[in-house]
Amino acid sequence: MRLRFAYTMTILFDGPVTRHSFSLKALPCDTLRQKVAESGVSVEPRVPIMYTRDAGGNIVFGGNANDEHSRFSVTTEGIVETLGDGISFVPETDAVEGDAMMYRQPTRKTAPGITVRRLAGETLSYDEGIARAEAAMHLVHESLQYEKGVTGPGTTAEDALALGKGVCQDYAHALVSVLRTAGIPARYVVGYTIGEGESHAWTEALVDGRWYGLDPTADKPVGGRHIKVSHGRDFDDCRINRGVYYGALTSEQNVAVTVTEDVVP
Amino acid sequence: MDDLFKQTETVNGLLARYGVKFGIYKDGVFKEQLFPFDPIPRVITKKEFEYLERGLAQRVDALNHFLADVYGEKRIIKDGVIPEEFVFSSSGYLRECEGIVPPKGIHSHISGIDLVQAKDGTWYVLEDNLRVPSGASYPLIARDLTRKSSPDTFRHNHVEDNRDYADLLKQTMDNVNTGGINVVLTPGRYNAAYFEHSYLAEKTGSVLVTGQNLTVEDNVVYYIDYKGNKLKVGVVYRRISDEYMDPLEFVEESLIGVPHIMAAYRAGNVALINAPGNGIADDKGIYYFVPKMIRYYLNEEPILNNAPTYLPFYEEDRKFVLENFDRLVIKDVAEAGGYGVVFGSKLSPEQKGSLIELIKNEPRRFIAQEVIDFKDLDILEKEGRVFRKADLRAFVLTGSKTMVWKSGLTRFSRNPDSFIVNSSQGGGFKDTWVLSR
Repeated sequence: MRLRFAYTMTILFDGPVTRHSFSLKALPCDTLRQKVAESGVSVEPRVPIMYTRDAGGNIVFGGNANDEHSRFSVTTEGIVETLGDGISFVPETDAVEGDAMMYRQPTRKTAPGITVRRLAGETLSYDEGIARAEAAMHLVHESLQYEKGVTGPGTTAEDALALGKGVCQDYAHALVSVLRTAGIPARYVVGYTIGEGESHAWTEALVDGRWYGLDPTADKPVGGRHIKVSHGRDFDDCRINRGVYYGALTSEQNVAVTVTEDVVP
Repeated sequence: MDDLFKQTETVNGLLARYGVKFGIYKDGVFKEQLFPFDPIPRVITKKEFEYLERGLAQRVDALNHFLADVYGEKRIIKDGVIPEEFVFSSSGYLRECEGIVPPKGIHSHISGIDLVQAKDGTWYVLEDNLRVPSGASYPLIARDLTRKSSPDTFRHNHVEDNRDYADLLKQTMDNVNTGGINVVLTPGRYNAAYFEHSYLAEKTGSVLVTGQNLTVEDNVVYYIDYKGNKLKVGVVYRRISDEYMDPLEFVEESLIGVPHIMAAYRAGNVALINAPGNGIADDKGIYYFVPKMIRYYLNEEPILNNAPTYLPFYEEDRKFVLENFDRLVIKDVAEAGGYGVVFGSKLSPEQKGSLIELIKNEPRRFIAQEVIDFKDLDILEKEGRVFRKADLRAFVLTGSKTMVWKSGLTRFSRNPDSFIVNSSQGGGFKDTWVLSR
């Protein structure tokens, strides 16, 4: 598919702020499954943008809005060509040296508890490979009910599974944790998808030297409707935006993501 | 030497006047304390120091190899010398540093290695400090003041001049400078070692800065001077810990750090002294593996001994620890500064039971060590000479080569029953004399 995306983050401060430094992971990258045809960044107030890559290879951009301002916005937009029908698994990237070691380690948010261990145990009868990863995805999907407001950014995989409720972040953490416990290196992914309105999260599993995307919220392989932005050990490695500033005490932050199929006229 | 003892009050008075203090947080309140100076120096013979020097340089070289490996190829893990659990589950391992090769490949530029000497004369390394080791300025300034107040002492004793520390430090900074000025980054005056930060900046000709004086543009670090001029920074000797260095990568609430400094460092545009992520190498659990590192990377036998250490992580060691609990010292690997250190023999039965339970549940969190029978050093108290436990922090600087400073910080416990000599626990310090012949 040819997808047009736009991510906009706006912060309204209750007074003027200065020395505002920001850093975002909000730009899609090229993978085996997606090619970025066009992409751009705009920031208000207008300041120079610098680019870097994080330890996972994700694109990071940021800058310093030093002058007084009470509104701040960042937009990334572009066009991404994607592969996959959402039925069969499509490799996202080739694994690099060290991936297997790095992504089988538990993190605080993905450390297994009783529930994760039980689900991981249920997948062991499947072949160690994509079949087991798929079984884990179905199990996680069945174990959670989609509900907003019951979990937060600090919720762990085990807590969400024990509660039986959560949002895409919880589904993704839960699958990461179950996969790692079942012996499959796994990572957390942030991206955009059609019809979501905000950012989405899913999981990648390392099978036979390649990373494959699984969307446990939709219970489907990652495919043409998904635009990948970043990956990491868990949510903390993939936080879309971070910032520090001096001034106002409170602020209101709004995020809007749109993904639509780009129809060539 | 008697002349020097008579000058104790003078020296301590001068130390107070010059602001040689360290600050501690106690019950949530920041207090500055004087760090009491004891006039009787620790004396190390030339021959003994040459031995220490070889052992310390070897150890620091191996630790630098380990840091380059662990954030790079990870051969030591793949070859099964260090279990991966000890690396990735350590709070000292920073994934943000993965794949970064610092300027000249050096990770630990300034290493503070804590040693103790046993009654039989054997030296043991108790701890490596590879993050932000402090304390070099105390013997430095104490020497300066004692030379002034008692010049005869140094005419009659052949002591290596330790006032070259600033030169060694400057060489170490210049060696990795990527083009630009040298700065010392301090969190500010409410830091335990603020005195030292300003002293070392002055002595090395560096600019003393806080995070607010630095800015990052296009992945380059600049210092903004009082006139508003922008000067490129080539090396930051930072005296703030990793987690507060860059609010955009670590603790977001940090007001003392420099936003984007990690991006500049990752791009190779600035050297950070010491490199972030070094906490993985001075982790109390990793300590156990340092002799193995020396054999693995240098293909040499370790010159200096580790204190005999057991890892409850290994079943065999766990059994030993539980059977010999009362004669061991148990350390929580997550704690520093003398906190989280308990002597098995000093616990009540209830405390002992709950600690054993904790060790069984979280074996990775603890190490156990034999209690070393320290050779006590004499200190001068009002009632006369008394003997107290003491350690030695040796400073090893890695520039174009690895250099051991011919002095060091000798800390002692003022409490006769205490084995803990950390300044944050109310101890004092001595000068350390290395004899020149």
